[in-house]
Parts: sequence; C-alpha cells; structure tokens
Amino acid sequence: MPEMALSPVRSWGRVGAPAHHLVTPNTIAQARAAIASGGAWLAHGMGRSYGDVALSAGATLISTRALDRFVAFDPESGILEAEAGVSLEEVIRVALPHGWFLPTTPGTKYVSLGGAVANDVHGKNHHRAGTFGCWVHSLEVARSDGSLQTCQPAVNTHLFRATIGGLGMTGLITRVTLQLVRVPGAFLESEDVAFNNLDEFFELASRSDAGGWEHTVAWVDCAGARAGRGIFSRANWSEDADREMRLDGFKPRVPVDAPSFLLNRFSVRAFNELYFRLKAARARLTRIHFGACLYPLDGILQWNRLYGPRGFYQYQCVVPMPVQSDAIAALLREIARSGQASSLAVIKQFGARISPGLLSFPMPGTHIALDFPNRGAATLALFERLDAIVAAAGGRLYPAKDGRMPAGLFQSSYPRWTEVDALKDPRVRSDFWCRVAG
Amino acid sequence: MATAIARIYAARGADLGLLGASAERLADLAADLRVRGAGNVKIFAGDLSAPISYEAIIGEFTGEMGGIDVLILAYGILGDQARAQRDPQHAADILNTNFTSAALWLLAAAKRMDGEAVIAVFSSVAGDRGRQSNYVYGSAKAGLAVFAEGMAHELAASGPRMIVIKPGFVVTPMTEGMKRSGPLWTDARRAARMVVAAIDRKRGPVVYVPGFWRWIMLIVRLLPAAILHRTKL
Repeated sequence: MPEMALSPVRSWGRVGAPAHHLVTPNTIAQARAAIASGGAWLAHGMGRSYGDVALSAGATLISTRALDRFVAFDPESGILEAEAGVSLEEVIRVALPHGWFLPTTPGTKYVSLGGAVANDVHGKNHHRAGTFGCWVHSLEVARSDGSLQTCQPAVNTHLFRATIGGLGMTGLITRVTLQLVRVPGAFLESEDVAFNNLDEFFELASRSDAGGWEHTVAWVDCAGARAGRGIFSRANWSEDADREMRLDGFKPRVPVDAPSFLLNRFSVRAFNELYFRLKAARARLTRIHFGACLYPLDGILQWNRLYGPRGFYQYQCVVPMPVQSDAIAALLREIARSGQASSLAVIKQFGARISPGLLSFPMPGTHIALDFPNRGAATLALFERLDAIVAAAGGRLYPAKDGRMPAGLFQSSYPRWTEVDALKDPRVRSDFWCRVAG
Repeated sequence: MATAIARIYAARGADLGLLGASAERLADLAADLRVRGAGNVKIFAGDLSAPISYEAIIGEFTGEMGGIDVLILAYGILGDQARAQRDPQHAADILNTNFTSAALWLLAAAKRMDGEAVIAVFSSVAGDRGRQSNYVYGSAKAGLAVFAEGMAHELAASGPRMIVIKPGFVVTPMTEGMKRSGPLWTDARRAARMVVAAIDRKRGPVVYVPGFWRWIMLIVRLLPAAILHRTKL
C-alpha cells in the first residue's frame, strides 16, 4: 500500500482542488497502520460533501473506498453491520430483497456509511425518522494512538455522541452497525401539490406531517417575480410488494464542465417556470420507484459539472420553528434582490426528534438549501448577508454543504463544538475544522 | 478484482470457495459474501505461489465443494521492475508467482473439472509486448497466456472451457499509487461484470477487459521497434 505523491482532490462543489496524499487501505488493519504512521490525516469517503469537511490540504486523506465489506446482516431483526466504506447503494442492494430499507437517506445513495454518520445526514422523512445517527446501534473508531474503540448510545457514550455528526474529528470510523426499517417493496405513492406562497407551504407542511406522510419536501422558486411559490412533494411507501431494484441500468454522465454562462438568471427563470407548470399539471397520487422518488439526481452521473469549471456552492441553513416563516421570507427576499440565480431551492420542515450527535445540523424548524454557481466575491458577499439573517434567527448552516462559514457563526450556533474538540484525535485535521475551530 | 467477481457470484446465490494468502482477510471476505447472498462459503488459506502440493489442495477443495463449475485464477504481483533488474531474487519472485505457480494450478485444476466447467485465468495486456517499463511482470503474464492458450487447445474437444482474461488499466490494489484517472481506466466492479459476462457466454480463448484494449494492444504490437524504442512505454 504505497503512499501516493500529492494529487488534487475536489469535493462535490468543485470550487477548489487542494493537493493531498491519497491512501486507499484495503483492510482495517492497513488503515490503522496508515493513521498511526505519521502526519496529519483525514478520513475521506465518496467525496459527496460539497465544501471542505472532507478536505485537508497537504495532509493524508485516508480513503475508505476499499473498506467495503459487509460484516453481518440479520434479515429477521434488520440489523446490519458493515465497514465504513460500504455505500448506501450497496446497503439497498443487500437489504431490499429481504424487505428492508435505509431508515433515512440523503438525496444521493452514493454516500458511504462512514460519511453518513460523520455528517449525521438527514432525508425527506426527518420529521418522522430523525437523522441517520438516530438509527446507529454501534460504531467502531480507529485513532492515531493505535486504539480501536467501540462506542454505542450507552457504551463509551461521549465518543459515540461526538462521532455522530463529528465530521471525522474523533478518528477513522471503521465499522457501523445500523438498524434498517421494513418496507413492503421498492415503490412509493407520491403526489405534488402546488403552493403560491410561503404561508401555504407552512400550512401544507403541518397538514402533511399530521396526516402521516413519511416523505415530504418542497421546491421553491426564488428567482422570479413570483418568488415564494413552489411545489410540495409528499410520498408514502406503497403496499405494492414489487422489489425491483433498478440499480444497474445505464445512467447518462455529464462528461465535461459545462460553460459557466449556461446557468444565468434567464435560463433559471425559464427552467423554474417550466418545472412549476409541469408539476402543477399532474397533481395526483402516482406510483413511483424509490430511485426516482428519493434519488432523482443520481440518474445523471457527475451532474455537479453542470455548474462549470469554477464549481458551485450550496447554502443550506435551518432556522428554528418560532421564527421560521419570517426568517425564510427574509432569506428569499435577499436572494431575489441579489439577482444571483439559484437553480435549485429545496425547503423542508424538520421534526422534533433529536439526534444523539453533538454537532448534528437539524433542529425543530425549517431548512432551505440553495445552489449558487461560484461567481467569487459577489457570491461570498451574498452569503454574508444570508448569514446575518440566519444568525439573528438563531439558526445554523450545514457543515456537509459548507465551504466558507465563518468561525464566529459556527461557534455560536454549535455551542457543543468544544466537547467534540476535546475528544478530537490530535492528528486529524480538516480544512473545515481549521477554519471554524482554529 | 477477484473480490468484485466473487460478489457477483454471491449475489446469484452461488457456493464459493476462496483460496488466498491471509486467513483473516478471507474470513472477512467470506462474511461479506454471505451477506451479499452467497450459499456455502469455504476458505482455504495458504501461499498460492509456494511450492506446495497443488493436486492435493485442488483435490480437497473439489471434495468439499462437490466439484467446481467455475474457477477464477486472479492472483499475481506487479513487483518493481527497476528492483527486479538489480535483484535476481525479486525477479524470480515475480516470475514464479505470476507464471510458474499459476501454470501449475491450471494443470492441477483442469483434470478435475468437466466439459461444462469454465476456467478464467488472468493474464495482462502487459504480456502482449515486451516493454522497458514492466517486462519482468509482462513476460510472466505472456508465458501464462501462452500456457493457457495451449491448454485451451488441448481441452477444446472435451475439457473445461479455458478463457484467458487480459485486463487493461483497472483500479485495484495492484495499481494503487498510479495516476488512475482518464478514459483508459476501468473500475474493478465494471471490469468484474465484463469477466463474468465472458464466462457466462463462454467467450475466448482470449478476452480483453474492456474490449477496446484488443485494438490498443494490436497497435502496440505492430509498432516498429525503431519507434517503440524511442518511447517510454
């Protein structure tokens, strides 16, 4: 397992490509030897975080790509144990034929178990299921001092809580034990409901939550004169027992960087108009495969290249329940005023289930996520104005999507960061942590 | 790549026997394959390139597994060409592991497999022409390909189907440390699917993975020496 020369590594947002020593251990034993052997290092999974939580310029990146073995799966209890590099797609491949599925999932299945834990990811069913970390039974963590520690909700509790959402700071997650959930089959019943303004959105969200909808998410227009309108999508697992996987079909790939001018305020407005009309035109309950419902963007490989060679940022924040409607409205006004086209704005109300993770992002309230093509200083200046709204509301930003959050905002909005810092593996280093905790 | 191939057979519910060097690593892989759907998984740990009794191990293996339908011979060491030029022991290790031991496994196994069975043996595109960058490894893989081709001829009428697999650039532990991006590189899972497809359809006797390497290597073989010798290939 020779160590590579320095090579550039990009995260999903593709804004920078800092050089790293990249190491891909084939076994947990090799991984432990690699992290015990010298300088600064950081765990790196499938590279789907958008900013710099999984980057560490000049340091060694320990790729978990080859730590991809399942350890055990009990089709009776739905408890699955696997090495940290196993992807969510592989979990589905193994679990679905037995009638089990991930308890919650982000919008892509090309995420490793280790990455899902380290970022304490959430999904469209957060209001019912909580975060990924709520379903973890046990973690195994390798540290630079040579130790291999097992932690659970009631064993080695502090390490457990610091590792869930801990952004890799507590060491290398080597194995994950996870509770899966029963599903009848591979299909959901989904419907799209149009709303004209944010008040209608909040009304729909509350009613859908009370009405027992498992998956809810909305798309909101923030580019045009009718900013605030949108489409509310909600879905439940279908009773249909068809377990067709559809994982191995052909997927188109964005082969090269699109030209930067492709996404501008006019093209985005046109897209939004089209999307709104198409969705609003077919507002009825439709049977839909889990791939199309939960992972729509996985259908196009490397879609992040659409944002051109300079890459893009995603701004994802949550604001607490009592002030959510005013704060979200203020954010949308600021974005509309800036004229910086945001091609995809996703909005969802989180539930009250609290994650064990000390640095978990969700809180009871509403989150909004917006993509912005990287236009340098103008984009960053807009983010500072958005930060002010988020901070005043008592909200916070999602580290997994972040590449620029200032230290002050991080430390005030994640007050328990010092507890994670105290348990930090002394040789672990990430660009994100240096920026916000330095 | 053997791991990726074994996972495809596991998902089909096959019984699998694993031969390899490390009992611990084989045990971890066996657990993985069971979760992925494999039936019976048996482990035989030992140094595959040591002067051991190939016949006896294949005999034990065949007995425990109740016969072999598909044999995948996919081990080898890339070695270090520069070191092999200085250090005869290293050169001998590369030749013994990649050629001698693999050839002896083929002889031992073919006798115990019937006409419906398939043997897939891993050679390499490196064996298609001697080049300064890797001729020790390349010549061992070339020897193995000729050996297997000869056996394919011998077995054509009644023996198991012999397929020589020649992978191009595949992202595996063997190529760790190289710059592994660009159109010539294939990930191990995709390469494994191609190998299994070749076995299912009893292709061969020589299969390039991916197929376009056949044409690349044709050109490399046809290059006049006067031109080849000016390159760093």
